[in-house]
Amino acid sequence: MSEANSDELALVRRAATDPDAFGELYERHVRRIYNYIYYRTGDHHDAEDLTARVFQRALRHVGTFQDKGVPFTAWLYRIAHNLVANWHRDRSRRPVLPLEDHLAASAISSHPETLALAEEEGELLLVAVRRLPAERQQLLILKFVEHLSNAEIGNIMGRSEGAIKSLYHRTLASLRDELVGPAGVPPQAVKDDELHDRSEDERA
Amino acid sequence: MRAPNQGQPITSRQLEEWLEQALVPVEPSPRFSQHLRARLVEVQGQGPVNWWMGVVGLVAIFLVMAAWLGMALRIAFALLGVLGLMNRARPAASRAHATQLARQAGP
Repeated sequence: MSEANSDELALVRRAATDPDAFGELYERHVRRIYNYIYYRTGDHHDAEDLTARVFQRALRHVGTFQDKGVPFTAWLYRIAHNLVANWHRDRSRRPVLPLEDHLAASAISSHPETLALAEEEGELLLVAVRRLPAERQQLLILKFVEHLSNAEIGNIMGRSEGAIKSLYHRTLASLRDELVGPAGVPPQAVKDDELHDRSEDERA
Repeated sequence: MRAPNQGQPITSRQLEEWLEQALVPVEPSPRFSQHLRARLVEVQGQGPVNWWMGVVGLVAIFLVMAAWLGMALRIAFALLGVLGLMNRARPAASRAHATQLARQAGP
């Protein structure tokens, strides 16, 4: 076990009875949990509410956490995943609210029309991401928001590095299918590098 | 980066660049973070109930029970007093009659 992992494990054990230790755990993980929930729900208020519930539940059960090779982060993500799934189930009959204005930090240009177009396209992509299965959404969030490696993502999701890589390629393919539109793209219109990616998928 | 128009082929590289721009870290509001942390630490700090709080609780329950018992006894004594008064308030004639009957019956 790495030093960082053993340090975190010691902190988790103390957190069961020491408020400051739990506070430290909270500071380490609140942003990643918030990001995960925000991109799964698309709303800041819901993200805050669910993030609070994640840590309240973690506080109640931190004393029962056991190191079975699964890091504490993965345990938190599992709690978040379950709460988001319940949230989606409870809202399944309500219309999906549009995403709030949050996009890339750097605008392409300051021209209002360009900004508006970029926002619309960004929303299009995020809506497509949210249509993916929960597992694939988590993969994209961990890869692009948290900038984790395939090995680290595999550690959190309980999969091998190779499985994560394969899942990633399939996820990109699914996302591409979502974005291209109902008419799809004729096979002959597929570009060479896309063909190369698909052959990698088949080998994986 | 502008996304390709719908219907046009999108390469994996383009898609990854697009994702890089759309999926950026989001900061929770400082007020939310601090407030939640304070609430969690406060709940954690309360800890289990102390033993002396348990004693205080038991004493309080005992006192309440004693008060109710005292009230019940007072009511019972009051009822007995009322019955006694009712007995005393019976007409003197009925008492004299009862005495005469007792004399006729003889020793």
